[in-house]
Amino acid sequence: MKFLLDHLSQEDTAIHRIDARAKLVATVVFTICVVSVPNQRMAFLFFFFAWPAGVTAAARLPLKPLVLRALAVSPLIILVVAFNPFFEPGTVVARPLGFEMTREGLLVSAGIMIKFFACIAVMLVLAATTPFPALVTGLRGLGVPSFLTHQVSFLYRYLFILADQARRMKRARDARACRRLGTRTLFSTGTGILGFLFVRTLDKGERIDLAMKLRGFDGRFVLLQKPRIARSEVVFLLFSLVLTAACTVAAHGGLGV
Amino acid sequence: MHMTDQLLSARIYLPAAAVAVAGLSLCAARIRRGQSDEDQERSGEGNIAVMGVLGAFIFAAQMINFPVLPGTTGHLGGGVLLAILFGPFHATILMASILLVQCLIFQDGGILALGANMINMGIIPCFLGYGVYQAVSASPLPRRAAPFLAAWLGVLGGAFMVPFMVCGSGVTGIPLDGFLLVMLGIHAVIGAVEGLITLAVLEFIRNLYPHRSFGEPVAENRALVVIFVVAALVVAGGLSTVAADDPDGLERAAQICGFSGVEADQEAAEFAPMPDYTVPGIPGGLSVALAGIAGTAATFLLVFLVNRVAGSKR
Repeated sequence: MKFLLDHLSQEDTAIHRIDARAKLVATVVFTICVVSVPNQRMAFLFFFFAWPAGVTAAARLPLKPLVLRALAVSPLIILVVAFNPFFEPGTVVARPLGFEMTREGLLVSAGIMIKFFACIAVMLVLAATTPFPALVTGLRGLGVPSFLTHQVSFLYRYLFILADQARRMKRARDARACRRLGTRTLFSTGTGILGFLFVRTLDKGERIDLAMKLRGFDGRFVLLQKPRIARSEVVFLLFSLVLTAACTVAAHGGLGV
Repeated sequence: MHMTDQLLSARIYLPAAAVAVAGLSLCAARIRRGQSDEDQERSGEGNIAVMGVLGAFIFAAQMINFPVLPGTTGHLGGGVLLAILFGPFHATILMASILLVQCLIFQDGGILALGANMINMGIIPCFLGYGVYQAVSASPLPRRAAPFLAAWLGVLGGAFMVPFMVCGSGVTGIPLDGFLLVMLGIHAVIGAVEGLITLAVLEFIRNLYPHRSFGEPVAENRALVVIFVVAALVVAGGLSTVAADDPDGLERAAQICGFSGVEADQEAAEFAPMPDYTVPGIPGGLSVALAGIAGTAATFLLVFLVNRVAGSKR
C-alpha cells in the first residue's frame, strides 16, 4: 500500500529537516489559536491560511493531492455543520421545506468549516513534511511517555504490511465469489478473514518479539543521532508563533482597536 | 465518532485531555505492575512488539467492509474485541495509539480533541465493554450474548458522550437531546454490527485455539468489573438527569471542577442559543428517557435475535 503523505515526508527540504518538536509545537499552538476565534469573525480566519500556505510553498509540496486529502476527510464535519443553521436563533433568511435557516447559524457553520480547513491544512503540512519516525522521536522529546511512543512506532511500522495482507485476502475472496456474495456469506467470510488475520498477526508479533530479544532489546530504542534544537528550529518556531499570534490578535479584534 | 477540534472549546478539550492522560497512565502503571510478578524476566517493558503489531491489525481490519443496511457498509472498531482478549488496560493503550496515528497521519480527529476522542473511543469502549462482558458471562444469559452486548454497549457508551462534549462546548447551536437521539440511533446500528463482528471473530479464534489464553485477566477482576458497570450506570444515569432536569448542570459541574474560565464563560454566553437544552414542543427529559427505554428494549430484542441466528447454525 502506498500512502502519499508518507512519500512526501521523505523529501529533503529546509522544512523537512526542521526538528519535529518545533513543528509539533507550532501545529498545536496554531490549532488552539484558530479554534479560539469566535465564529462570527470568520473573515479574519482567512489570515490563518498564510502559515500553512507559506510552509507548503517552502517545502515544495504538491497542492492538489493535499487539497483532495482535505476534502476526503471533511464529510463528517459537513454533516454536523449542515444541521447548525436550523437550530441557531437569529434572523431567518430562508425556509427550505418549511424549516427556518438563520443568518447567524449560517455564519457559525461557515466559520466552523473555515476553521476546519485551516486546522486540516496544518495537520497535512505536519504529516507531509515530517517522516513518521521523526514525529515519534519528537513526541517522545516533548514528554509523551515511552509506552505510547513505542506502541505507535510499531503500529506504524506494520500498518501498511498488514493492510496489504488484509486487502489481498479480501481480493482473493472477491475473486472467488464472482460478485455473488449474499449478506450472510459476506459476513461469515469477512469475520473469517479478520480472525485469520488476527492469528497471523499474533504469530508475527511473537516472532518479532523473540527476534528483538535475541538481539538484546531491553525496552529502549537507542538513537544514533540525538535530535538537537539548532538555529533553523528557533527561526522556524519564532516565525510561526509570531505569525499565528498576529493572526489571532487580528481575529480577536486587535489590541483595543 | 472522531470529533474535530472546531466542535470543542477549551473547557471541554482541556479536562478531557487531562482525564485521558490520567487514564492512560493508570493503564500503563497497571500493566507494568501486572508484569512485575510473572513476565518481568520475559521482557523489559512488556510485549511491545506484540501489542504494536496488534494495533496495526486493527487498522488492517478496518479495510474489510461488512454490509450494514442495504447500500451502507461498516467495519470493526476493535476496542471491545481487544479488551475481551487482552484486558481493558492493554486495549485502552492500543486504542490510544491507534487514535494518535489516525490524528497525526490520517487527519482523522483533531489534535486538541485527541484526549476527548481517547475517552470516547478508547477508555469507555474498552472498560465498559470489558465490564459488560465479564458481567454477562457470569450471568445466566446465553454465552454468545456477552461479546455482542459488550461491543454494542461499548460503542453506544462512547457515542453517548459525544453530544455532551459538543453541546457542552457551546460552539454549535444543535440541541443536546436531538443530537443525543441521532447519535444513539446511528450507533445502535453501528454498535450492533460491531457486536456481531466481535462475536464472530471471537468464535473463530476460539475454534482455532480452543485452549489458548490471550492473557485475559478474569477471576481477579470480578470486583473491578462490578465497579465499572456500576460507575458506568451512575455516570449514564447522572448525565441523563443533568440533561433532562437541570438546565445548568453541565455549567455547574464545570464551575465545581473549576475549569470554566472567564473566557469560556463569555464564549458560552455568546453562543449558547438554547441554554436550557430543550426543543420547543418536546420536553428534553422525555426524549432522553424515551431514548433510554428504546435502547433497553432494542438490547433485549437483539440478544434474542443473535442467539436465534447464531444458535441455529449448530
